Formats: sequence, C-alpha cells, structure tokens
Amino acid sequence: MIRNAILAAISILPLWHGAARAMPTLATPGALTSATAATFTPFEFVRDGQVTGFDIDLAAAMAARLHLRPVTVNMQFDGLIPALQGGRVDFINSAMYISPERARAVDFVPYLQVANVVMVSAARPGGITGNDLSLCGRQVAVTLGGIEDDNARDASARCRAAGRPALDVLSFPTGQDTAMNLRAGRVDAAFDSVYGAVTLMHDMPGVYAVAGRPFGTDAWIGFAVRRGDTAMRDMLAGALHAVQADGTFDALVRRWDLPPAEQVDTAAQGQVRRGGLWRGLAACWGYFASWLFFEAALMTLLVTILSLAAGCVIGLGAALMQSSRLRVAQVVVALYLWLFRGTPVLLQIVFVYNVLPGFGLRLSALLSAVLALSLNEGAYMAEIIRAGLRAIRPGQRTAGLALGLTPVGVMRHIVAPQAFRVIVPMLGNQAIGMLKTSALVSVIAVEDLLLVANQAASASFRYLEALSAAGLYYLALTTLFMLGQAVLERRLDPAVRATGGTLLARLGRMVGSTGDAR
Amino acid sequence: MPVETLASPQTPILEVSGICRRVGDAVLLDDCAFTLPRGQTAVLLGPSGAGKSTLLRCINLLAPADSGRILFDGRDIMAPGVDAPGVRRDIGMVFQNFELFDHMTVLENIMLAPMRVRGLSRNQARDLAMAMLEKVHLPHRADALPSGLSGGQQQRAAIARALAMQPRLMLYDEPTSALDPEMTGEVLTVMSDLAAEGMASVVVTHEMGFARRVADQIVFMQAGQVVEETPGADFFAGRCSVRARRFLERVMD
Repeated sequence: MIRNAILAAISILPLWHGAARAMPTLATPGALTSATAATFTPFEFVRDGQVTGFDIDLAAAMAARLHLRPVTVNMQFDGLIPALQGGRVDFINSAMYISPERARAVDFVPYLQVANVVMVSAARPGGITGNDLSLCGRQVAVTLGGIEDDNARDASARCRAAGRPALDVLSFPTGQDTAMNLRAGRVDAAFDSVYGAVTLMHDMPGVYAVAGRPFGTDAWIGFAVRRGDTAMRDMLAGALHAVQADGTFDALVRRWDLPPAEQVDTAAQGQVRRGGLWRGLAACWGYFASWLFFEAALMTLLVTILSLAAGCVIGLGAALMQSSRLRVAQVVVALYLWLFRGTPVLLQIVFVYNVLPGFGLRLSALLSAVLALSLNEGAYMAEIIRAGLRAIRPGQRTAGLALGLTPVGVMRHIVAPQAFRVIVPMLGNQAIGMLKTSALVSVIAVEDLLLVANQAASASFRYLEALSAAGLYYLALTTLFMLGQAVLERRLDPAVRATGGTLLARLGRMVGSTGDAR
Repeated sequence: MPVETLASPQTPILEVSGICRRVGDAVLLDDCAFTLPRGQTAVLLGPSGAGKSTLLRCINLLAPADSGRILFDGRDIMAPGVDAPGVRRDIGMVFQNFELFDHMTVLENIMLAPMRVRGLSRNQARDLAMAMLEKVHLPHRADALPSGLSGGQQQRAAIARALAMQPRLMLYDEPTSALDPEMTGEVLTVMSDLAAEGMASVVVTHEMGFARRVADQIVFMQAGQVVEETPGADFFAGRCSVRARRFLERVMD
C-alpha cells in the first residue's frame, strides 16, 4: 500500500512533460520506446531470456510503420507509470486495463477488448456458478485499480439489490497475486481476464476452473501515454489503425491465440505433469544454472558492490565534513542525512530514475540505481564512520601530532586504521543489507535477481522453484560477504599479525618447515 | 631556505616568555615565563589545575598560546608561518596514558614516525627502533602489542618512540601518574639516565624524590602563573617562596 502511494505521488510530480506538440518528443531519438512488465502471458512474458508476446509483436509492427526502432524496457508493474511520467519511455505497452482511476493519470489508446471471467478452484468450486448471486458474501480477489475492481463493485450492487450481502473484496497488486491467493485457498473466487484464465488452466492443470461464461465485453486494454500528450497519442493511434487495416493485427491475434471471448474454450485444462517433487527440484536447478539467473546475480552483485564502494566514499566525506569546524559543511551534511535517512530508499530510486530527467539529468537505469543506493548508503555510512572515528581516544591523535606527523598523516596512519577495525562488523551488516536492498532496483528496469526470478516464475507459474533459485543466489552472495568480513577482521586484528599472521601464512610456513625437515 | 637553528652553545634550548592562554572566560595561563639551558632538566611543580600540562602543550604547539613568545633553540616557534609538525618532530613528548598506537606492535610504534616523517627506509627505521628499545631495556618486547605490556613497559616503549625522532628536547606530562608504585621506578630510571646523558627535558610530575634528584631547575606554578623559577637544590633546601613552601609541606607529608 505504502509502496503504491509513494509511486503514485512520484508519478504526479513531472507533469510538465505533457506539453502538446505537433510532433511527439521521443524518449530516444529514432526509437519507439515502451515500458512493459513482462509477467502476463500471452501478452508480454519472458521466454529464453527475451521479452516476447502479443503486445511486443504489436509494438514492433507499429514501430515499423513509423520507421522507428522498437525498444522495450522491462520492469516491475509498479514502475511503469513513473517511468512514463518521467519521460523514460514513450508509452506503456503492458496490456493495461483502462479504468477510470488510471485514466486520471494517463491517456489511453485502446487496442483490444478483453472479457473477464470468474475463476474458482477446480477442486473446490464452493457453489460459485459465475458472475451472479452465488458470489454474494464470498471472498473474491481482484487486481488493485484494474477493471476487476469495477466487476466486483457491480456484483456487490446486484447482491444488495437482491437483499443479499455484498462481496468481500480483497485487492492484490497483480493478476498473478490474485491467482496465487485463489490457489492457496485464501479467497473463494477471483476475477481475471479470459486470456489470463486460459493461460493459468493450461500451465497449471487441475488447479483452476472458470465458473460460468465470460462477461463484461466492454473492458478494453490500451497503450498508456502521458496525459495531454496528444501528439504521441495520435501517432500511436495512427500506427495502430494502419496495422489493423492491413491485416497485421488479426494475424497477431491468431498467432498468439486470442480469439473473441465467445469462442474461447473455458473448460480446457493443460496436460497434467507428473513427478512433482523431482520436477520441481530439476526446475529449481534449471533456473539456478541458467545463464539468465547467473547474469542477474552478477547484476545484483555489481549494483551492490558499486553502491557500497561509492557509499563508503560519500560517507567518509560526509563524516569528515561533519567533524570539521566549517559551519556550512556541517549544515549541508545534516541536511543530507536528514533527507536520505528520512525517506524510503524505493522513493529515492524512483526519484533519481524518473524525476531527475525532468531537470536535464538523464542517467541509465544502472547508474540511477547505483546513484540512489550509494547516496542512501552514504548517509548511513557517514554515521557509522563518525562513530568509528569517535571511538578512537583523542590521545592517539595527540600522540601522532606530537611525533611530528601532519593531521593528514595522523588520520592515515593512526586514526583511520583503528577506526576501520571498529567499523568492519557494521560494514559487514551494511554490505549484506545492501545485497537485499538492491532488489528494489527492479522497479526501474535493472535486470536484477528478483526481477528475473519474478518474471521467470510468472511465465511458468513455478514460483517456488524460481524464487528458491534466486534465494540460493542471495544466500551464496551473503555467504561470500560474510567470509570476506571474517577474513578482513582477522587481517586487521593486530594480535593475529603479531603472533604469526594469517591462517594462510601459517599454513605456508607449516608446509615450508616440513620441507626443511626432509 | 629553512634556518634550522641560530643557536650558539650559550643559547638556551628553551626560552618561554609572556605565555597567555584563555579558553572562554577561563584564564589557563597568565604571563608564564621560564628558561631552560641546554642539557638541563626543568621540573614543573604545583597543585592540580595550576596549568602545568597546558604550558607543556603550548611548548610543542599542541595547545595554541594566545600571546607570548617561545624560543626553541633560539628560533621563535610562535612566529606566523612556522610549520607546527616541523617543530614537533624535534620535540619528544611522553604522555600520562602512554598513548602507544594500539593497532601496531611496539617496534612498529617506534618505526612509524622515523619512516613517515623523517623518510627512513624500513630497515633503517628497524635498526633505529631496536637501538631505542635497548636504551629503555625492552628489546625482548619488540614484537609484542602494547596491550600485552605492563604499564611500566608501555611507558618505556613510549619514551623509546619519542627518542627515535632524535629530539633536542623531551617533554614528560605526568609520565608515572598512571603507574602502580612498583613500576614508577623503572620509568624514572630511564628518565634519569637520559637526563644524565644531557637530554634537555621539561617534566610535569608529582614524584618529589625524582624532582629532587634530577631537577636542575624547579618551575613552581599556581593558578596559571609561574610563581618562581628556582635551582632544584635551593628549592628543596627551602630557599623558595612562601607559597611554594606551603605546597612542599603538603606534598612531602
């Protein structure tokens, strides 16, 4: 909830982008750039590491008409509207339902009518027969802010008119979440699109069933453009019209098997897969060993290490400025700490990626992520380093000065090494924390572990396996960091150095001495 | 062109005059003056809070004096533009709490400044450090950590560390106050030996026996002022001011 509120607040900020012009301004010259959340088979999903689906093909066809290069930016659903408002992309191409709430934030170019269905558990339909009075008083899952919300409202109104209790509606962020909750038995039914239901029944045979017939054929999905950006809207509408006129659109509908609702077979289930546990383990290993996950883990590691390193430098600078006698420096640092410790890091990430471009600073997703995370980290590191420096007795400094060392020399040879030893355990904490905080960058299209795992899961419905594989990577990286911390602590311990050095060095000497004894 | 020294053998190693220091409304030092001839030892005596340690820290510029003049080996070190670290490398200082660097071995403690300040190579610095440890009778503890040493050993190591810079003047700030009585002896012996070798020293201490034995000169302070500057023999023979005599009577009990 809070997360959505933050993203909504951020997305309202840069409305100045919406100025109407004859020719639309493109996010990247020569390219038609769209944002998608590739978690909705068959419209957009990840297959073999590539984003594909009906929407992706449609956008490519339209781009070809406009003599532009199609570019798809893949991110979490929450990040879509902020990315559009921030001018990161030209439009959102993510099978977005057109709802009155969304229409207040963006303008739509509708392209497909999608009917909805009532989905129930195949094993326990619970007497629900469709979008009718059998829903009254039952727990029903809907996607937050989607057309399903309206379906639920209408159904409740019908129930009340008939003197029955209204629906008990539970809202979830994505269609995937409603499906998972229905499977887990936390709700009695869920509203979903007819195509979403067909995909679920195909991929997870025997779990879901459709109750009754599809309904609500007035629901549309559309491309979202910035509100008031009529030039972009008209350009997209023109291109859409062109691909509809020449038959490309219908060809795509056939290719991705999206017939009109009345022709959909809502009873068909996929083939049941056998050997659940073994297959699950194999799938988990398959994810873990895949190049896609390995790359994502590297990306997570890269974001973490870069942000940590930059955060340490920023923190050191801030700590030194804070302990200086310059009043201005102290005030600047206090302001910085207040700002970055006082706001959620998710907000900072979205701000850097989506709001700074409005001020002319346009960084890549990776750089935005690293900048936001290191500024956040720096605020915490500043306090840690300050505590470390204060832990050193003032007399140590005095003694260094008395020996004729310069203040810089005293810091370098006497205070810093001792302070470093004090802060290593906290540094370890921060490093491991950062590893996990870095998962937040998936909302700005950085292909980190969590994003890749989420999308792999939503494409195959193997949540347990994909998330376990990601979890294994996180555990492996955490272990690596903890080992690094232990090695560092040993190396910095003067007692270890004084009595025979590192474990490795001692081992080396042992080998050496047996050699001598021969 | 740095003028290292203008000194002739007759120039005192240290001439302090008119030193004042105040912090806020508190007057810590008020017009302090004394002179230390080459090769001699001055002991600063006086009740707690008299300003002895503050005066000591003014001499090597650790505490800035507001006014006055300090001639070190004939050179005005309070003149504008004087390089403070450059002055301090020629003045050794020993602290009440030893202040050995905890993260280094005894040997590394002594090698640090000769390497980083004087630019000696690691081998030169090691030889020098070992020689200094011989002087304070601690060569066997070279590779120990400060935390593994007794208080007396730590203070002797700290003296060796100061000596490694080959200072022309040593400042001791209550060097035995933090020590158990059985350890003060070993430290005072080292200090006496150095004084006998002709190392000029200014010592703040409450060890009257040591002061009587070693002090060429007693500088008696009270309430931020130097009350008198008396040859050690005269002072302990009672040829001193009434205020000093009263102090002596109190501490000799």
